[in-house]
Amino acid sequence: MNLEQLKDYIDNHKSIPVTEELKEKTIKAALNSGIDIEDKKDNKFLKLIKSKNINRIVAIAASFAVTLSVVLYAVFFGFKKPQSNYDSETSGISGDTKDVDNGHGTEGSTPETLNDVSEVTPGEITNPATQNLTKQNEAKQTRQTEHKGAATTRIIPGTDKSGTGKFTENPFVRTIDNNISTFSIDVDTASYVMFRRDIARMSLQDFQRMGNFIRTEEAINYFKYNYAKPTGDKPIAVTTAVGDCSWNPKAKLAFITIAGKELDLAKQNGSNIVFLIDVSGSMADDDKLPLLKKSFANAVENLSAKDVVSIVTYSSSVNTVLAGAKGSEKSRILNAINSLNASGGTAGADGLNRAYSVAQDYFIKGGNNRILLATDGDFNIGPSSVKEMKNLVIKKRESGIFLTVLGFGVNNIQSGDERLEVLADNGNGGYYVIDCLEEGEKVLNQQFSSVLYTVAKDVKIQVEFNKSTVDSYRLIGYENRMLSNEDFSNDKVDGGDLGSGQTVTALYEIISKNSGEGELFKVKVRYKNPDSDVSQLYEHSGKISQNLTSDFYFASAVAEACLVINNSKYKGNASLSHAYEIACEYGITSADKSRLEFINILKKLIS
Amino acid sequence: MSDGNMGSRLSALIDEYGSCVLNTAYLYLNDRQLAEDVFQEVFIKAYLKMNTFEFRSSVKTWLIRITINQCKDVLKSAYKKRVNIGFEDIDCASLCSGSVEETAEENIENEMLYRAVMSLKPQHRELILLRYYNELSLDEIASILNISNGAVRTRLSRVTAELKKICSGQIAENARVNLTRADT
Repeated sequence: MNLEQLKDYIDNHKSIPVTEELKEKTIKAALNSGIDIEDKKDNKFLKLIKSKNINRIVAIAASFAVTLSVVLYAVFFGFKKPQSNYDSETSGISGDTKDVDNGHGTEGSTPETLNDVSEVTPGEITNPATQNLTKQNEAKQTRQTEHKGAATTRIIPGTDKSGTGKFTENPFVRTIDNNISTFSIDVDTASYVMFRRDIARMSLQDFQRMGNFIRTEEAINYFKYNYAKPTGDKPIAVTTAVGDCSWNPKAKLAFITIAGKELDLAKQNGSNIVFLIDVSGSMADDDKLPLLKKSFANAVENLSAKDVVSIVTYSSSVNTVLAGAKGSEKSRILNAINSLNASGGTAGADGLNRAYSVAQDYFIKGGNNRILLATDGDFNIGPSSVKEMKNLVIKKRESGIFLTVLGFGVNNIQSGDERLEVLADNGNGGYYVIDCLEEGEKVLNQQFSSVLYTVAKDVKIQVEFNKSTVDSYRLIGYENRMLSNEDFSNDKVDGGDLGSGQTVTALYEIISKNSGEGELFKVKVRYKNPDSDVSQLYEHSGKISQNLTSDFYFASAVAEACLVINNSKYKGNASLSHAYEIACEYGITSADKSRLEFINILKKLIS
Repeated sequence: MSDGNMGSRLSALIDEYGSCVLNTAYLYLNDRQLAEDVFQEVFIKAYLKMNTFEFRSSVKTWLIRITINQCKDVLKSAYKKRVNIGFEDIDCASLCSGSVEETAEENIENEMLYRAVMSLKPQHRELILLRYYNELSLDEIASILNISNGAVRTRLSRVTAELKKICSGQIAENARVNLTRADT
């Protein structure tokens, strides 16, 4: 008797759909009942208005209405943002479980104690198996240290998943308290994709009211930028610029970018790829397995005879559908993918084991060996299995088999989002959410080489601010990627991975002092070559620039928009219309469809 | 607040939780029409209370609480009217009957489990639904049913044991009747 499979089975065979008719009938009925309540008030109003002192009554009524709406508004927005339970079993990547949240600018809210029936966001993980762990971690997270001059302490990457749960912001830090800022890069796309999806079907107000937020760094990094590419045999190149901050006239915006080498696929030794595909019952939805099949056709197009392809599927059981096919056998591979059907439970751990075993069978020494896991995240397993999976992923990456995660239909946060991110983080790969054909095309075709090939792993950035020219600084985004300054040179501490041709952008809001002339900061980047365990160091210094590229302005427009979307307490004069204006000016002529799409989103938000 | 704004908020709420509410009611009452009625009631109530929702529990838990209470009301009035809700008729025989053969092999066990769950009394079934269909925590279930966390645990283990008995009874019954599949 397997109760764990009950939900899947019901969803696939017994559930009834919410028809449009039912939905409309309900909304109509609700609006009608709402009007009834209003009507009673209105009737009294009407009687008043009909009386002779109409002007005076109208004035009184108007001011009453204004006061009432101000009060309601304050009451509603005055509530602390809902907090959530997490499966924070996804503890430190290096196994470090010290996860004190040092209170990076939490919006005036303190986490609940164990005894509260906690405020949770609509989409929190309520998987029974993870419940105990979330309570334990809530206790850990109740320890908060002061904001002021807080040393950048490690927040466990993966605990706050894009768009859900506790919204935290990096605060301004004074250089006299701590002039060094360290963080790991992030090339995941999930937060922006989910925001884009949500905003298409709800207003910004609804988005905010449901406790959602967008990860600014993931939004900025979603777009392609033309940064100077690395030369010679260096895998990365760093550039910096400093310009005006459009939402804070007292501040400057520091722009730090990393560009990864663009590999020439023709010159590579070929890849050994295992597609590990979730074919459990929950994958039957249109935006999951069917979308996956269409999207994978893109990926297959990019393979050649040098590549070796295998397909492993998992549902209630594990199946090796194809083993060791040549990348050039496109129809054989496509037929195998198109023949997949979704049904059954989700033996995620077994699937992963089998995929690694098949990858080992076809291991290319000195080549690129990678598992592409495609799932909606519904693992149906408890936290100890997640820990096992994580340890397995870590062990395997050390032996040269990496893991990238492709999320399909991860609309519902309960489907295990942060677990997916953790697997990718530990597997030296990115976590990409594919919600439509266009996104599938982008990830698996245009950017396939970034998905397949890592050019630099464990990339960490450390910025040292000049105490005599900078008074304080604030890192925009990367809240769940912060590292302690010691972690920077500790090669055992994991960082994000940069794929071929990928770029990473980080923005700091800086308050300068003493005229702010001269060097403002130094940037150090540590990274490892994909086949090495020893990190390399790269240094660069930054001062105010005369020439700011359109990339700088576009990125700052994205940042400005995110400040408004997140209703950040640091938003200053940020406005969506200004962001729209700048994004148009520096994005509308670009051939980049993603930028145009973003501009359209802003347009819709301000209309 | 304008109607348009409230309307779109309700619409977003339904998009997110509609299926969960509808199917929780459907599994509770085993009647599509009644489930749709409950669905409407739940969201109308939610609409009226949207502005005063204090986020002390999750939106999902709140909606499910309303759903369960609404279902219980339906049962009470149905009982009073002596209306037959239907599920009480399910007995062991029908659990093993006919259409199980038509079910795909890997689904036979799931189908049997499903029928076993549907044969439980509502007060027992709701525990299974809340725990395994809605995937709520023990605390959340406790707050919905107004009992202690410990009581939830106890009742849940009793119901699970009951289910096990029913299922092994089904297996025995199947073996005895020697059901075979039409095309293997």
